[in-house]
Amino acid sequence: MAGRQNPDRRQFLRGARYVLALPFLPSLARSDSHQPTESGAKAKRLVCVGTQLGFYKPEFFADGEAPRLMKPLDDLGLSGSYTTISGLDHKGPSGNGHQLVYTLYTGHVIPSISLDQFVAPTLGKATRYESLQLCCGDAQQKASLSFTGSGVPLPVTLRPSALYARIFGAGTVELQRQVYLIGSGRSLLDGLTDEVRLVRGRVSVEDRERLDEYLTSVRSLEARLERRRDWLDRPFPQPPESLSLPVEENVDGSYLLDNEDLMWELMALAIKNDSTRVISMTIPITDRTLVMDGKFMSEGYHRLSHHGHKADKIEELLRIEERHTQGAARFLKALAEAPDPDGGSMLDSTVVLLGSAMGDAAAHRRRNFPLLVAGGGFRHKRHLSCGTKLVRNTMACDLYVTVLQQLGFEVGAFSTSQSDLNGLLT
Amino acid sequence: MTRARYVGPVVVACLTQVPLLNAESGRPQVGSFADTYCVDCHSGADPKGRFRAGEPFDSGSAVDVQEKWKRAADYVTKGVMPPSGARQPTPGERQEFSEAVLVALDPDADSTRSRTTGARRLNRTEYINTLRDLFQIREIRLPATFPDDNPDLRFDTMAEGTHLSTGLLDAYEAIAVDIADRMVPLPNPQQRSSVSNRSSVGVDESRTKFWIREGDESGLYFTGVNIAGWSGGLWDKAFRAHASGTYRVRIKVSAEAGAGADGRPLRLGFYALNTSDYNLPKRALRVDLPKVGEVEVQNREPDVVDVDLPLEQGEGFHVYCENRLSKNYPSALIRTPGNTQDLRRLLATYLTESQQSPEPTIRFEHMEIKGPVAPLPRQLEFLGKVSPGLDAPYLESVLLPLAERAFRRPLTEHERTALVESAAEHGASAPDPAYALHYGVRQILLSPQFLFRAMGSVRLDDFDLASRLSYFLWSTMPDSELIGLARHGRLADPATMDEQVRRMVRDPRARQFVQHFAGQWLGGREAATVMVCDVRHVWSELIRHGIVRSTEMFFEEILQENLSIRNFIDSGFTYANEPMKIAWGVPGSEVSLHRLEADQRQSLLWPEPKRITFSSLGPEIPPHVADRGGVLGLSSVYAATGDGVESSPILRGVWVLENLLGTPLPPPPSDVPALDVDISLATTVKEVIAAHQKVEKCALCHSKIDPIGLALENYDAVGGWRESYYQDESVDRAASPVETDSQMPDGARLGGAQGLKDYLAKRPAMFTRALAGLLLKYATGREPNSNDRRVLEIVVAEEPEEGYGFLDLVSKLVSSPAFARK
Repeated sequence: MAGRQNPDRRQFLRGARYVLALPFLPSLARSDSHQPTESGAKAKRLVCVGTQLGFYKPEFFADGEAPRLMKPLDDLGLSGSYTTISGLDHKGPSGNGHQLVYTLYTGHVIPSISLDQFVAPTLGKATRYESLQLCCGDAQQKASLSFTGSGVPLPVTLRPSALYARIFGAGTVELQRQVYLIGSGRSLLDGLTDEVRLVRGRVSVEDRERLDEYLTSVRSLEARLERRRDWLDRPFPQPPESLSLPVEENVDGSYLLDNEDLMWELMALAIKNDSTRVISMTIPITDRTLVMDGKFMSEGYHRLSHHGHKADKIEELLRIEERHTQGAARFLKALAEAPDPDGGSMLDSTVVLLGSAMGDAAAHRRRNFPLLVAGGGFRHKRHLSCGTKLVRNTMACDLYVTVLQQLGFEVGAFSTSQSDLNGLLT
Repeated sequence: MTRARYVGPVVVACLTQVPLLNAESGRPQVGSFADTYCVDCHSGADPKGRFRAGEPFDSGSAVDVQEKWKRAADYVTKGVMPPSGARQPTPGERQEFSEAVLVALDPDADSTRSRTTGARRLNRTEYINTLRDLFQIREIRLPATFPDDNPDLRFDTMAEGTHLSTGLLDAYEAIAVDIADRMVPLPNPQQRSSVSNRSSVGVDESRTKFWIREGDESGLYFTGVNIAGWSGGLWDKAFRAHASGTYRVRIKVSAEAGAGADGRPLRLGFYALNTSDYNLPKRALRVDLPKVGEVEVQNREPDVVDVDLPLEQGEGFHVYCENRLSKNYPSALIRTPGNTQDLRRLLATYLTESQQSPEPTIRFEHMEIKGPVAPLPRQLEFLGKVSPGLDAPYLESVLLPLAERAFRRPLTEHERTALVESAAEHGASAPDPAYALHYGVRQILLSPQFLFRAMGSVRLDDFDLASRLSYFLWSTMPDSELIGLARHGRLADPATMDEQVRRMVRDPRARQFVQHFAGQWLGGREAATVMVCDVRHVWSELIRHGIVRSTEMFFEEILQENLSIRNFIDSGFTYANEPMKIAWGVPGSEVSLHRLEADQRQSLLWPEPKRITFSSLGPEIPPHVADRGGVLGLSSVYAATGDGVESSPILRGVWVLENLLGTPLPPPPSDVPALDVDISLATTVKEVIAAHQKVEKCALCHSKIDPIGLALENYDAVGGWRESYYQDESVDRAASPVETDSQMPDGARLGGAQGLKDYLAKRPAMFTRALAGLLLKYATGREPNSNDRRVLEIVVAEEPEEGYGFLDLVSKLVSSPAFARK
């Protein structure tokens, strides 16, 4: 059974466009025996943002002159709060980069847990939502960046209004009905568990394995129902008066930028009122022509990403990407201005990652991802060049190991990591 | 990772009883084989592959020694070892050797016992189909967030892929609540209302001019064409039924005439649609929507009219004037699959004319929707005659028939009492029987007996067999006829089985077999989602549609007409739509792809593929088009083995070996790093591919894979035709021509796709074995075990000269003992 302990490369080559409903394969998670220690944590929140079309790297990495895409951050006085890192990727196969953008925070093509989901059960213990998954409007391809241990993608919230409802409570919550469904659901699962235990001894070995999976899933579902019940009758925070949602919401790809602005704003609010401490957000690919400031741009976003090194196309593309980093800058600024109850600013206690597993959308390259880490109490230095000559220290997951340690997880490895970036960032 | 356990369908001409080994050591039994075939290379100070075939081993050996032996067994089974050129064992010897190795490594494994398929969870397709059949709820569907099945297995029916995960159980729970809500609404549902008028109502904005009349500031007029997406329908954008039930629509309207086109009073028709499905107002065809209500409008002055609409959760509705249409309304506009140019002209003329002389119609002012005001007729039927209390006979009468259908077999006495008692107990504290039933429905839908097929049975009984047959051909639960036969114990009879197979294939549900078996075997399902993103391919969504449908149609013709399975190797026909022909390089098509796409935007239907008979092609058609016969001419095969950008000769070679020759190879060894090659920068594909052959470990398999892949290089990553490779503008080099010349390890020269087909056609038994093996795998969910392989050999041996009719082959397999084994 050669290769049993390792993912099959042929399947890897084929490029998983889907994710699986398989139980977690222990061999794929080298870091599953972690022991997070609260005391060692320098940060307690994680925000993972990823675009599906990458960034124009000559204007992204903050080496040398101030790149255009970092200007929004610098303008808001955040120049000491972030680091762009070049030279990192997952060393995956070449080919159609679009198929694999979802691996940004998993490091793997095969079913594996994403960084945010790895930390969510620990960091999200005390908040209404263990974690949130967002996408700025309709997605042309699978949007989620968040994967459970079994590789199941978590559903994303596409509508700013839906995110608003989750943070501040929907107009009419059918509280009684929810209480009833959760309560009766749990008693129902108990009953089924008893029934299954009765027959378990009488079936074949194969079937018994299936029933055990069933029982495990039931137990974990019961735990989640309980959590939902706990939060049902606790009051939601009040939305700030300054916040206004558009009267008519349009999540069509054309309105990506407007939706994205709202998402960044709502994300900051969700963190400030402690609705959650773990968020992932996808800035999706779209073939649609974007509306910027009320006007259609010259070409579709996806087409512009295939700029063919033509100056006018790059200019249009950069206008879009600037909007992404402007949103990020406002988000970071909002956290920087919010005091953390435990001291310092909320930005100091929140690790924010922004990047893409699309190294270069113009050529579908999957090498050298654009990556940025902000906040989180790191020793920021604007830019780090990794892996230019070295063989080691070139995995994006090396960065994630350092992030995990910053969040108090005593791990030495995550997914495809080979080392860490501790010496460079902490 | 999952394929590693695979024991391929190796030719076993005459499988004798495999000698059982004692647990002490694998040496004595393995020894003679190893001494004959292995030790020449795998011994001494520097054994090849650092594997010593001469040393003893058993279940206590070091892990890496065990792994090496397992790999040896795998290689021998799959014909990778001994290498070509060395003395070859017989298939029987290979089989004996590998089984002996495995038994020596795991003394508990009983090689005489065939591996069985465990209980299988319903996969995604089977689950939703079964829910639809069970509940008959219009347009029920899975949420977009429902977890996908494991895509890396050959079929989504494989037992290995149908594990249960936490994410899945969460989804099942949510769906169970959803269905219980739709079947047994809890008392006092929340009522909501929605109001719309001229300023808020949704009509296609570009066509609003047809709805308004000068001088009337408050009314809208039902006019235009009665196809949603044009200008005929009116709807409340904001409304979506939040729960299944009857909704009361109060609409303020007046009639401009006493009678409509049909001489009867003017009428409004109400059509339900699931708004999340349609990119409104583009694609909804009124003719395809279910009509849920109708009302006559006779009052000449504005007045309110009430109509009750049965709506399912999530649905909205469109309103049309049913009989406004005058004589000049072109019937072609109702539904025109044909020439979209003509359609547009027809429509434009009609709209202009009708605007110049308005036809009497219905004037609209205001609409209010409220609900749910009552349960649906469907819900009332399910609930039956509700008894006032919660007596057990009532609960039994509702829940037990449902559970019996959901579990697909009669209930045990224990199941009956447990289900009814727990529901009754739950309901005892509730004021309304609905709570008990709601609970009962949820319980049934979360039971392992529903979620898993053949749970708990040690052998397949008649009911399990009925399920296996119906999930095989229909991807859904057995119908009453199959269950009836099972009840009378008649499914074991081959004649009955044959009759049933023929009946089932003619049933519309057999489309599921085409979509899912052929869709996975021939790549249609992959092609439906592959992200083709490049300027390098002739591509459009119309081509995608054509690729998926043409493969289905090709397969369906062979199935329904019971044509010889040799047609899969090469055939005198294939299917393609017009846009595909452009990608295929068929001359004579005057229209550009761009133009076809522009037309499509005005059309209501996708361009369906048409049959192409090669013998009737004109002389101007290049030979490569006429070479599109068989599955190797289908674009879906190439779309599925590429990634939308690059084609991979390696994946294609692997695909042919597994799917047409039935000789799958072991997965690449884990200790050899992938060659990270960027094909776009290589000078020739041949050079890139040759890199594998330089490493001995790789060459073992790649000498089989690569020549096949190279023979197919004329097809691009989405199945189009190419004679040279794509060249990025920025690269200053001439595009390199495609070379397809290659040689199989047995010396045969292929020289392109047709050469490969000729090679396959000379080895028909290999294809029959491969296809039969795939069908069996899809149906049983297991890798063929030794019993299955014996059945396959019989099937191959009994094949008639001209090849099996496809339907005959299916029937033969279904009646075989392999099909009936768990």
